[in-house]
Amino acid sequence: MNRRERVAENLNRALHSLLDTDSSAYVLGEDIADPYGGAFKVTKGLSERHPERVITTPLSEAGITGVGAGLALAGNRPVVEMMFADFAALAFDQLLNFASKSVSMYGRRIPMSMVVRCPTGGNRGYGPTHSQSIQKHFIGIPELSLYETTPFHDNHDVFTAMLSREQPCVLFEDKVLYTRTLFSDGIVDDLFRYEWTGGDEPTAHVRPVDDADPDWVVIAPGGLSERVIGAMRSLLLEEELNCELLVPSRLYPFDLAALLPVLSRTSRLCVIEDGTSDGTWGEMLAQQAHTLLWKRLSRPVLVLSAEPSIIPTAAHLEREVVLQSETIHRAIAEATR
Amino acid sequence: MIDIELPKLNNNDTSYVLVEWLAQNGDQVDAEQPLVVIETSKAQEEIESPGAGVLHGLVKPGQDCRPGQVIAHVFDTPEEREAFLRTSAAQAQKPAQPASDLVLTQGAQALVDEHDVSEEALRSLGRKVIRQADVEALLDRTKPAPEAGGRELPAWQRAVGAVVSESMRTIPAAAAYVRVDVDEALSLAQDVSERESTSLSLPELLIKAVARRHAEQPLFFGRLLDDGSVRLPDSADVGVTMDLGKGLFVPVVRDAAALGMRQLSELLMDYRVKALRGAFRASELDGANIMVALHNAEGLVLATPIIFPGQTCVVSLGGTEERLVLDAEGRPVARRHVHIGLVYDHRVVNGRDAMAFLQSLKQDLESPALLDTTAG
Repeated sequence: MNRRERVAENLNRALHSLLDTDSSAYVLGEDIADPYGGAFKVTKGLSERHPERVITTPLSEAGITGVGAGLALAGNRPVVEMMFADFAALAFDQLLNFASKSVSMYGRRIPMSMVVRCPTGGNRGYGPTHSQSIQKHFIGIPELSLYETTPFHDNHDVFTAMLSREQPCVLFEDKVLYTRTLFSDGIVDDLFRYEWTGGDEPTAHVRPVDDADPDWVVIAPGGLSERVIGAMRSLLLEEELNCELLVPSRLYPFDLAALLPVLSRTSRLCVIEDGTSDGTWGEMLAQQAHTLLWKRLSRPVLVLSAEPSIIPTAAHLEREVVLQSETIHRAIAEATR
Repeated sequence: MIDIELPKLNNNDTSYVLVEWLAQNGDQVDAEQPLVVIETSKAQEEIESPGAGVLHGLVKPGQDCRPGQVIAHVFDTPEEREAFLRTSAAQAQKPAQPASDLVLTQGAQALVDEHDVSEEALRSLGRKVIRQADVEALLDRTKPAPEAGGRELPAWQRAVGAVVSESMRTIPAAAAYVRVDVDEALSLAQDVSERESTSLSLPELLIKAVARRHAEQPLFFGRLLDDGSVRLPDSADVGVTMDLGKGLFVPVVRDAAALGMRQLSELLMDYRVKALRGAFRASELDGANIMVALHNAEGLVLATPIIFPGQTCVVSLGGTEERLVLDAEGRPVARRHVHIGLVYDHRVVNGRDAMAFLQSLKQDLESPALLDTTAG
């Protein structure tokens, strides 16, 4: 049967491939063993195939991240699953003070190849402590890289890139994205196409089928792609505003200069993120853009984040806190005036 | 015939995959017989037939399908299915469905509808996404060439022509004029400009004075309806004429009575820049319920503008003039004044109302302190 792969299936295939080809690879997490296969089924089938290296663990995020870092220190390549990103707060000490520090505090570089997977994001009605996008709390830690799954990037390549950095990486995975299918062959839908840009870890570049210069370039992580593309469609059809979207795989460290070929085609830049406002990834990018593009920009970078609020469980209230296509449409239309 | 519509199977997915048909096209199926396996991100589910009949599936195995999509028909008889197959075969032989691969913006679609633009013409553009400007260019191209020695008017001027013709055809207009001393108003404008670090003058003060009339004389802001009644708006939304060589624009100052002088002057400055570039958004040009026409060039005495169809009146501002008058002690002093005109729809208001309106404007502008609100 020939059909497009869902993101959760693609992640699952990437983990299978990692365990199959690399005998130093491990997968650790809560309730990941079959037949349950993990809360979002990303680890389905792994424990049956590799029972000795797929370890279902007690409920202790600090403990399992510590074990993961220990495995990495001993030369292995572990992947640790947080059941929900919100719980990664418990693993913060292990990442800040053990895993990332171990890369460079022993006088010589120690390869610390490990990945901590974090299911993030709202719009699922899971409430305040199971819906957060906590990327911003991990930004700026030396030797800790941050990635986010997208509907464009094949996760096999993303895992290869993360593990080849030889430093701990956190992979944020938007929960809504799990059930969406991956785009392929450069086609998003009838109105939008995508291509790759920017260096050895490519960024997806989404643009309308015709090649008018963009009124706006938007940068957003993978979890927001669907909502941003929805806004781009209505902005084009209702307001005749041409927007292009850049979806990076790696969020930190972030090299804005690699995106200059696209950024130099516009005078308006918007950065969109799912976390709460203030002290954020979007602000970091805005600062980089203001330094790099100061004379080219016709207005300050527009940064859109979630409301500074808890995320309500009730769907109609959650929609008001977490960014939606309509919120993005309104903000960009207003900022164009 | 029954349509098999795919139900919503969970809250997470926007599309499912059709895995396999459990009955073949043309099979006789019973009510509640499982017809098809649908895979969501969570599980595989069987969809049962809602009734008995002859099955005809519309989606192939492996294809995506969406909640609400009709994935099959169940026909009452084999003959009905045969008839359906004949019709769809005939349709398949026709050329491609019109415009299915073209995407029109709302602005473009409105023009296409208004001018009955053919799909062939749209295709001749060679574009996938068709914008308003593309259709405008197309309409310009399809017009006959002007006569030798003739000069074609630009599109915006033809649009002005349509509006003023409509006004002259439908509105019986009358006019009245008043002379207003503006020494105090000009000095107030200067004070406010310095205080607010902005730049404002008579147009801003006149807009405020006009907006203030809304509370007492709402008819001047009304819209005459076909049944003879007048729809009265909740606020004074004042259109201001601007022509800086890129076409005549009438951007709107919404709820002008609520704006402070600084906001008002900054908004007008923004509009002037846009008029210079010809770069207004449609929302900035829609919805005025009264108009102020600026004819305040030096030496200009009187102006009689055209009422915008759908509005009841238009106020004009002439140029500032100077004359000598005798002061209280009989000495000659120089005074500055302007003429303000009111052109009004005589079906809605009469000369007496117009005089009261102009007198109030005159009072406000000659004792302008009241206009200097920082509200808003």
